Amino acid sequence: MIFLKRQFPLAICFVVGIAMALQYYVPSTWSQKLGSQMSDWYIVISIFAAFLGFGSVAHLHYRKVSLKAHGWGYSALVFVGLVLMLIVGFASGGKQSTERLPDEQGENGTPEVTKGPDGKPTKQIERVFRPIPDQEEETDEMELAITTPPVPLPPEKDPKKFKVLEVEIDYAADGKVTKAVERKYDRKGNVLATREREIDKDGALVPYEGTPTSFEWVFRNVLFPLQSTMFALLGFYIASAAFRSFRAKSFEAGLLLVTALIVLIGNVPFTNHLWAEGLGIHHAHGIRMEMPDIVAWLMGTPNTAARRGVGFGVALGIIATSLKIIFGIERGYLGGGD
Amino acid sequence: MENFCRRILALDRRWIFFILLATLIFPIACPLNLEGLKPSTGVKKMYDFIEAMPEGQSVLISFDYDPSSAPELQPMADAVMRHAFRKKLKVVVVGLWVTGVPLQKSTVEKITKEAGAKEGEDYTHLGFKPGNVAVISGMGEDIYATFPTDAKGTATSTIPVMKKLRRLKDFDLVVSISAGTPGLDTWIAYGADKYKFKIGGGATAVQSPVMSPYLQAGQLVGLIPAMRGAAEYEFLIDKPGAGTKGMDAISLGHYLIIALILLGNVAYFYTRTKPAGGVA
Repeated sequence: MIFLKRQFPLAICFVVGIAMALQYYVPSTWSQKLGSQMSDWYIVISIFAAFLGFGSVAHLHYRKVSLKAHGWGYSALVFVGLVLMLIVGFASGGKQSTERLPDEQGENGTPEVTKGPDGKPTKQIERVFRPIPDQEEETDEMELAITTPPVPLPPEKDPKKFKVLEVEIDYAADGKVTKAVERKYDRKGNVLATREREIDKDGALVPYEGTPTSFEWVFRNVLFPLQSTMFALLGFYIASAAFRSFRAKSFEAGLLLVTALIVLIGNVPFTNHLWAEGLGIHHAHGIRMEMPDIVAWLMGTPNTAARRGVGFGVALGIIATSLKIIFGIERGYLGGGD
Repeated sequence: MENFCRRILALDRRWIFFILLATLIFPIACPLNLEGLKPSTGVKKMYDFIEAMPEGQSVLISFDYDPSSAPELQPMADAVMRHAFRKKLKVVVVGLWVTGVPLQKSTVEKITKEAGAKEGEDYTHLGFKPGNVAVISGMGEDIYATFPTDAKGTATSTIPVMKKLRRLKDFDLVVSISAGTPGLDTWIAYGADKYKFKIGGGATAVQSPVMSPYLQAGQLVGLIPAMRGAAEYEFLIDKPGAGTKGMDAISLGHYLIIALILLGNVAYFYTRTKPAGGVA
């Protein structure tokens, strides 16, 4: 068991770490294929990590609820949110709005028009042939081979390669639409969905914008305001914190304060207007001295120089830590225990 | 005076919250249209790059933010997309943040409707894919494999606008509107540097200074910093939007914070040498 818990993960980490580091610098086809393959693996593993995260969150909050720890009510709310979002997500099929058949991508077929004795159309069927992605086609190939597809497709179109979306419109004698039904077929010709289209008072089809799903509703009315509020609160706390802690208690603090005030005030466009138009300051000793120029210098020279230094430091730190992980020196990610 | 200064120093933070709220609401309710907006270097570079792109060239716009940063970043996403359609560029939209997907969708719908752009021919919305760095690497190798379908399920390889866009380097410009990681820096490190394509973007006020070395080094063709950058971009494309509207509130908010800092320091220095509770 110790092999599976220690040596095996270390070996995987070493091999993959070295392979990916080399892959980045080798421009050959097989190297690119390897990189692409590993990227797919990464996506698959990250999906498993999502389940792991779900389990971890559930476990943590379950313990808090079961022990009635401080703030356990919030933990109970976590479960309410989790379950509600799962229900809403599955019920909506992960979609934000119902599909808009007339706007679907695909090739428009020639409309089938049935005319009355007076030559005016009484019925029209419009079809959109939507290409099926290659991957889907391969998946269902066996099933399709044993099915005679009654799909309303023109004979020249391979039913394995297209989905059909159809709108059947009935017209009155005066040319107004009396009824319009949309149908969505699967590749075997089975009707997947039927929906009646809305008709306005003038007898024309109401442009279909798609109906927002419950998933979209939750996003718009719960997640969006909650996240925006949380972020907006930061502004208030920053204002309060700046008032309380931004004091020139030492020379360094004073320097920081003056610089911050210049950047703050210079980032307000109206200050630029007052500076240039009100005070008439444009140049000093032949150097452009408009407020944006001063701010640009502060941000572009001392600030960027410091940023570069921090950036190099962080990058070197990441390289060192990565090497320690690849060579098995840093083993914290394996967890504790035997 | 001393008592006043001590009361200022002990000011309840709820008063600050209230004053700030009033300061922000006022210009939103009654726009002041403060003057002085002048495009900064990064914004001008970004605008000039897109402006110089010939009709029919392609731009990939990555929405790397979620609702928490939307008030700051949405105006620039709108402005860049408007500019791209005005220049009749082919636009492809993706996103690396799962909670940002509905924002992508609503932005694409709003701007394309406004521009009269045709889905599939002028633009496509590929949607979201989990994997952060892996998505960028995958797109660098083969977009059709990374995004087999667009957000509506149409095979990517069959979409007219995607016909000649197989890899990231096939794009004439990639734009990341970024609130953090994965975002603009991820696109630079794992995309532009390796697969050699032009990249520009927009970032939050917090992230913009981190991005400035990339702009100076020429790794970014342009950088739109925060709401101010969005307002500057709106000014350049002559289409005032949410960025311009928000600038009055941001300006007054900045002035208030400056005033509070100065007030706090005056009170601090005035009371520093005097013992607490003592009367001169």
